Amino acid sequence: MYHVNLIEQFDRGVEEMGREVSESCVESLVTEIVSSYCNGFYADKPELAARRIEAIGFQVGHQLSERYTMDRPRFTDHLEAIKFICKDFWSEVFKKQIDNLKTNHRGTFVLQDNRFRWLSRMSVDPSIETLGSIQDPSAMAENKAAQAIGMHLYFPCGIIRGALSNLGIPCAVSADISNLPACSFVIRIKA
Amino acid sequence: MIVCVAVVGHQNNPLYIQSFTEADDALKLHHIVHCSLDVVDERVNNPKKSSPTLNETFLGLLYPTENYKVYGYLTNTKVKLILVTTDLDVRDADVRNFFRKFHAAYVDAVSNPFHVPGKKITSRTFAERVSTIVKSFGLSSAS
Repeated sequence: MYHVNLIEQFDRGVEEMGREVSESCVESLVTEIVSSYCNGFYADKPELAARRIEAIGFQVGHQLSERYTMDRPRFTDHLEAIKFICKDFWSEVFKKQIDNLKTNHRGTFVLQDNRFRWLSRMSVDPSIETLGSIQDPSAMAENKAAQAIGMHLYFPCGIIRGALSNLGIPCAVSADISNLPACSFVIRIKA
Repeated sequence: MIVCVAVVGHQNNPLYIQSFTEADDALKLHHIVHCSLDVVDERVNNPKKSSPTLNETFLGLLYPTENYKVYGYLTNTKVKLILVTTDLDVRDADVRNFFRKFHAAYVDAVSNPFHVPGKKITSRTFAERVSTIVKSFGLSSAS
């Protein structure tokens, strides 16, 4: 459970502005969580690894939302809570706000971040790309890279879901990668 | 003097309840806290439209009984904090101040990675911190 602990410290650091945990530590930690779940514990069951990583994110989001909503009035509707995620919550965790928020007014929200912090230093392994010189494997390599990046997005998805469910909004969250480092999170609120 | 404080989860499940009296009246105080939950629900479901305190976390005086005053606080995550006091003239600012500190203590307690959300808070640090806050209640107004 060491990983959650470290993020807690990181979180408290932001609050007190005196104690901080290096951002690169958190970033490496996330990378390490993903790699140990995907290549170690559940190497042959990617869905299970994804669920586990999402569950860790859920707990982190759950606890963070408790702290970040401390000094604000209660939210009246879903949109207000989502706006809170986009603005205050995102700035606390990623030092920037969500760039674009879209909704169909029927319970689906799309949060677009044009430069998602945890993807900003991520690149596609060139050795995989050169392998793609032959027609068919190219698509496969691309697919594989997208899959690897997708694995890193289960954690932030869990954070969003954890935060919203603690605010009384049960939902499902998925992520889309358009072109690095932009990515969008799709929130579907369960009626 | 504060005689009882409680933290109640969003499904009205008790997370922490502690009385601070010498006498053996814990059951009576628990009953008072239990009754106050209905008042909290009522306040939240039928808010007074004109009130400027709409959706504020601090709910104010929930109800007075013969010997006690009961105050409530509802967080964004639907966790209720309840305070029972025997003081008859309590300053609003003191109560707000108390709840702010109490809330901060609660947030720190549930941020513990070993705490299971929705389960009772068993942390000894939390208990100590709460009793310190309870003891300091109202002291600032004396000075």
